[in-house]
Amino acid sequence: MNDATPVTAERHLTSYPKFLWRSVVLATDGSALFYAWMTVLTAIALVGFNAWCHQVSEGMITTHMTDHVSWGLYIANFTFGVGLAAGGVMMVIPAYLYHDRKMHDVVIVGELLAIAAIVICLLFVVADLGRPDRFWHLIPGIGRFNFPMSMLTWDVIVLNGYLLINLHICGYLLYQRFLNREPNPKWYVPFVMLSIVWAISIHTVTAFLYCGLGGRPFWNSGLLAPRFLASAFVSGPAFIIVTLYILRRFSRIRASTRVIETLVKILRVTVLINLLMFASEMFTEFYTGGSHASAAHYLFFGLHGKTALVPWTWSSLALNIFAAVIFLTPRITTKPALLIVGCAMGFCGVWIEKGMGLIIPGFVPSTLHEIVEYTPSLVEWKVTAGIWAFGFMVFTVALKIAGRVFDGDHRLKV
Amino acid sequence: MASAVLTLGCSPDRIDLPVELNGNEGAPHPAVVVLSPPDRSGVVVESGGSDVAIPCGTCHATRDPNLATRSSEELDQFHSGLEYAHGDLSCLSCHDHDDPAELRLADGRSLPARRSIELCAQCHGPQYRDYSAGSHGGGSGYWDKRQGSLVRNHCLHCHDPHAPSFPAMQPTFKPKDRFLDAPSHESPDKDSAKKENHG
Amino acid sequence: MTAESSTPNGGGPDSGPGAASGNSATSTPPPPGGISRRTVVKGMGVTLGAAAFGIAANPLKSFVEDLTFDEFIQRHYKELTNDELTAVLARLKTEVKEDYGADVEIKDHRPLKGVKFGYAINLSLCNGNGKCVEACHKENNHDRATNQSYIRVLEMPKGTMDMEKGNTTYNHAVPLKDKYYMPVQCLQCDNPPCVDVCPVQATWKEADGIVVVDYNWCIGCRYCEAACPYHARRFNWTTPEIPADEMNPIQSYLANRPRPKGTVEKCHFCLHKTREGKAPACMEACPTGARVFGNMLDPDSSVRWILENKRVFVLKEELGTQPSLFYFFDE
Repeated sequence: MNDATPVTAERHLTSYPKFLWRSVVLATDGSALFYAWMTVLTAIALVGFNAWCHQVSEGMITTHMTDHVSWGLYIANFTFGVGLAAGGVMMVIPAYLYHDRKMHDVVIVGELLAIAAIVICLLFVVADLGRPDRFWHLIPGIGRFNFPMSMLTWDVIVLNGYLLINLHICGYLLYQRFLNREPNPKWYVPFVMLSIVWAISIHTVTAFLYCGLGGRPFWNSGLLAPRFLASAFVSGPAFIIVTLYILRRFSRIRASTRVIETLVKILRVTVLINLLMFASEMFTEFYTGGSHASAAHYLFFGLHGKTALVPWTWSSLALNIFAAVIFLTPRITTKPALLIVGCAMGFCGVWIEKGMGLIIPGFVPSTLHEIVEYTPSLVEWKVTAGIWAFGFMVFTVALKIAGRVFDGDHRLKV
Repeated sequence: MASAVLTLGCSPDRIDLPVELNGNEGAPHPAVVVLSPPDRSGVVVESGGSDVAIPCGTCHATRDPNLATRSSEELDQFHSGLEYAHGDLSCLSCHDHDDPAELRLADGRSLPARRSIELCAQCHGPQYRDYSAGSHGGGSGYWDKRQGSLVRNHCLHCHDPHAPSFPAMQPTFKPKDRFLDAPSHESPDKDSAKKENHG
Repeated sequence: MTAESSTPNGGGPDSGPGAASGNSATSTPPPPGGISRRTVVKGMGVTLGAAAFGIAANPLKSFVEDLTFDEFIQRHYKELTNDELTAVLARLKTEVKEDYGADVEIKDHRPLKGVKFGYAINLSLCNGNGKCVEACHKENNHDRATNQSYIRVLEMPKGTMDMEKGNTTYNHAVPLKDKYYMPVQCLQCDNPPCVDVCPVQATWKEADGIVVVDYNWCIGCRYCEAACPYHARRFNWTTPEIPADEMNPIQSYLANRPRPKGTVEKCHFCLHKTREGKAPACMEACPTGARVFGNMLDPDSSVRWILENKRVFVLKEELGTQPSLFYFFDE
């Protein structure tokens, strides 16, 4: 604390609302490009919101989910989103555990990504509910929260907890900068450490949603949670690298090349671990054979002439392999364009693998081994695009506020 | 040709059965009631637009049953066209030679037609055991004998004694789930084109 | 949704000047004094955005209008007092009248003391005719458009228990010589995975073994559908269609009353009948006598005799779900 005057509670009462107000002002202010970007996102979000309203009033018949494939694009994106949120921690670990000073400067990008990704996840869960009006039944105290039996209640806790932890960390750091004060480590470092453990937990618990179900052999594997983490640590850093390049171009947040090198080092390991675990699971499925392998068969080759997922699966595999090759290229950080392509490939590859490639084969064939295929409906695509657009809005606005506050042009005038 | 088939019409009367079924002491209703078997005490002939039942004795008072008859092709007059597929039995394995309206047990004793379950039980022991225990023959009404009776079928509701194998059926109600391939319209098997209903 | 709703507070035109003055770093020219052009544009943007949001939300109107306040605040079945339950049942009766034009009687059937239901299906007798499927459809007021039913019948080749080789869409005279037929419905597991996973306790196992759903508490997350190893659960993807003259008027809260859209339902062993001592609809409809229902705690019951004397098995025993519905073959 190098501030001369101690901050009293009364001062917070006036300065905190000021901070929030300035943040709102910053969030709504920017260049023509910023307005265009936000307008497009708002439009997509509204289209998605409108589609969701239709879904609520007409019923989920507007989706292409069925009693056989009872989860679809929403839960697929939810699962992926949790990974993205957890992936943000891959900036926090080098910054705080390995005291990487350069990473420290931009670690807030990872933390803000976590916030935006969790918002997306929560929206996807709400979009998937048949009765969103009964959401309050989930609230401990006034509803009936089936804790600790239901893994979904664990997920509700860890996701909201992770959101709150990251909101606290980012909010505290930004507020202290706003007050022209050096942040006090005891108010945020313990939370940063907690957020590292917590990041692991959100994706582990999300994997437990699926792998605890004995009736779904495709999911019922002890390797699922580690696989989730490995893929999260591909999609998260890949997304962050692209974000850092974009920020270099459009904002004054400048990540040093050292930061990108660190992230690439992480990617080189995680992308291989992810592929290895995937290969290990597929070996077990196909070498063992039998009806437990029928979902994997469906995924790769189709089953009884039904092949809807086959193109997705092979694209995902190809994308992941190409991404690995690109990440492993020597001195890749000197070729930003190629690196960005690699990141995009890794991101999309994991999106398919953790989304359509994981959720749908859990249901095909069904538990009675009937084969009902699933392709998302237009409403589902609209809602999904809308939620992603909203997530990008949150991320953009958060980065904007953070960038400006850290730049110092948004300090409290004393 | 005056077609003459044995009737399997279902009567709503209920009969007592010699089978020992679950006890039901003190309740105002029997634990189990078995629907009376279809009336088979004769042949039904269409005459002037209406069905006329002709008791067995009408002919057999004068006409002696043929002991040797083992196949339906050998039958004539009122019995012609009878579908017969019940093992290697002859008519008089079950029908009483002296009183064609009644039945005959394997040991030669006569058995009233309404007690036909005992006749079936001679050969179909496991089915009789299962039926008595409630695991064969189905039921409706009450599972809880304290509250009402379980209404049971008689052997003859499901099994034509001359061709006892359960008839083939055509499923009439199939799932119509979205995106589940619609039922394939396979042609029904020729040899399973038997009627669903006995009547 | 939160961003759209928070921007009107933040960027309102009346609070404009303060907002604009703090932004020296933007590339646009400084405001010419008073209300800046930027603020006006912002205000217009917010107004347009709010209007677009209102239009986008329009389809929700019918949903909100249909949702009564009493329905919204209704508590969990187990938390209702007798008076509240009576009021709920009366309200539901009115709703069925309004929505379907049918006069029905909705009761609340509680488990009978000393009863644990068991069901045994004789696969030597079942010939796959599907009368049970149809009886369930009618008894339980299922959606007419989809032939919805709690029962599915698998046609399986003799000599295998691998459902991979089964088929539910067969449509030919039955039985085929080389096939056997296996009806599957909720097995009312003693260790039900569907109950474990429900985040809001909208489904639970009752004392007589029946796993029930409070259709007015279910949030429609469909986790139970994912958890059930037997495809026993159904989701109401839309409001079920049932003509008034086909509505079964004898109904129960946890059983066959018309289910609201967006909620999960399942076989409840016809508890509106079986808790009155009557046989379930599928058993009464079975023309082959393959179905035997009764109280497993009654040593004289038929189902008990089967458990003691037949070689029964359960589906997917390796999952440890401990079903209350058993299968057996005679031979």
